[in-house]
Amino acid sequence: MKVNPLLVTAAVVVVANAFALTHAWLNRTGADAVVTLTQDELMEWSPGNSNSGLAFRLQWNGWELGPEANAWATPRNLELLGFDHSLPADSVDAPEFYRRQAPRRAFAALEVTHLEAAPLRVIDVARDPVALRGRHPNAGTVIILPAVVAIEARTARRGQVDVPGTPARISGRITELPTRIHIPKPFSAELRREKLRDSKVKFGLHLRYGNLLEPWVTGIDFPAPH
Amino acid sequence: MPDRSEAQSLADRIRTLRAELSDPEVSRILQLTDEQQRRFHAWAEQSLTGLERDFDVDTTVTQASLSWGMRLAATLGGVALSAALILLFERYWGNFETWMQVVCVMALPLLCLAGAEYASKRERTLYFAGLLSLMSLAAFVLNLYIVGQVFNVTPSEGALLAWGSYALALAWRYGQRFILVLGLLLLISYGCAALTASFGYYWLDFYARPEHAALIAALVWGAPRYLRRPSFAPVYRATGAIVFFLAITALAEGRPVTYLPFDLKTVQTVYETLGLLLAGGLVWLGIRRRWDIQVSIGAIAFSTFLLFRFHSWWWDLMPAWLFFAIVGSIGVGLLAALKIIRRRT
Repeated sequence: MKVNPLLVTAAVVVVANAFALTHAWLNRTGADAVVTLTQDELMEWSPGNSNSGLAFRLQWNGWELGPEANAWATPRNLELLGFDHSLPADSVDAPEFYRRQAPRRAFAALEVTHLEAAPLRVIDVARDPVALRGRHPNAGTVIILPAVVAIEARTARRGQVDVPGTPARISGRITELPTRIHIPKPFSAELRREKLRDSKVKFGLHLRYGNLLEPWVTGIDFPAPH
Repeated sequence: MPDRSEAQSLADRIRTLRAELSDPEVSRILQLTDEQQRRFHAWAEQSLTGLERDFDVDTTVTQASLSWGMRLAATLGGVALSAALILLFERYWGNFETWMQVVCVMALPLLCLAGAEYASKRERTLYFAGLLSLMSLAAFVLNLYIVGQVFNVTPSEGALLAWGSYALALAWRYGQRFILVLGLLLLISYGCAALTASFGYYWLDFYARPEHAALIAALVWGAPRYLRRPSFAPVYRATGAIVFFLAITALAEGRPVTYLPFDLKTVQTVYETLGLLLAGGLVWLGIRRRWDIQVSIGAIAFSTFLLFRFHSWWWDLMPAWLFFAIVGSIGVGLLAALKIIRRRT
């Protein structure tokens, strides 16, 4: 049987779209987390005036470098993620040894703290999202996201006046986290309308994270002004 | 039945033969009777007319020059119109409901494909079909990107496979070499990303392991053995060779993550030596098989690896002017050696 090459070409588009839409549908057949985030946990993603879409990015504590910010990066946890942490951090070969270990795919648990300093904090990381949800069962305050984790050797830092020094240590760092959230109509139109009235409008964005840990917006509300 | 590029090659050969036979010096050596000359010219004219009618090939030097300009204009036009299409959609997509956004981006590549098919039936040169198929590819890239954004899908390497497959299907359907190169690069990227992800690493870090790229590029280079379209073979080999030597250069000169269980210096020396040997081998093979582009790629890669080797041996031992003087002298020596080889082949 001779296959029509034009149909094969068109089929690539149809099959790829069918695959993407099935993926989205599968995600939305269940909910892993149901959270409400406010303007403090979200930063508007602005690609410039030429793009009419509206999206937000999650504000999480990725920029913090202190040991308390990466408390999840214990030697045991790093080992479970597949990293080799056998070389001491103060060894001469440590930077190259840890640099050569490529970042690994994992899942991160982020807690919605509603604190101004760091509204979303990474509290745990694991290879298995089900086990991670088991450790953090509160689906109203903890969201699980796919993440990319790297291991690194942090050099010792000398103490200064009022600032204590830190010894060399092996740590983990989240290098990738899918933080972008698309705001569809009619929620985007509502938000834009309110922003025209008050550019610093406060809002609560209701989100569901589905079976595949991907979010979608289910509502938006604006608290009444005092 | 040959395709258009094979028909063009045949037309070029007939044109060259006719020009040579008209040369007085050749006519003195190869004396054809009036009858033979008449039969040859009638055959040449008939063949060229047939090729021009069936494939719209260039039968004069002026036509050939214009064709290059048209090919360039079609590619640039395709790129510019693709950018216009993407920017126009981005400008207004926020005003649509989700279902309208999805329907629009799904329909765009198919509409452009229908346009390319229509154009290919109307013109044998396929310039407009090429332009529209490039737009169709750009629309398909936009399609999956927007569907991913709308549904907040976590990016994965699967999109590279879809885009690469579509580019290859378009290239084969309309004989478009530029789109074939894009498709091969996308598929090489997909192969690297899928390998990287299969080992538990982040797929977008695929560039960090150039050994994957070298392996897949070598497969692309060897693919023409199994292809039924000889006119595409140089594109496969050129794309494969360029990606392969770029990957080896990254391994030899960068600080990549590698599978070799040696220290960085040894890894770099191994890949630099391998690069030199394989580049030299490619020049040799290219000369034997008359693959002109492969000879050029091999020569450039060989010179690059040689320069890097000299740099690591001598840069710290001598002043810069002496280093470049020695490199220049070696270049002159190589030129002389190649001249001798050229005379003998």
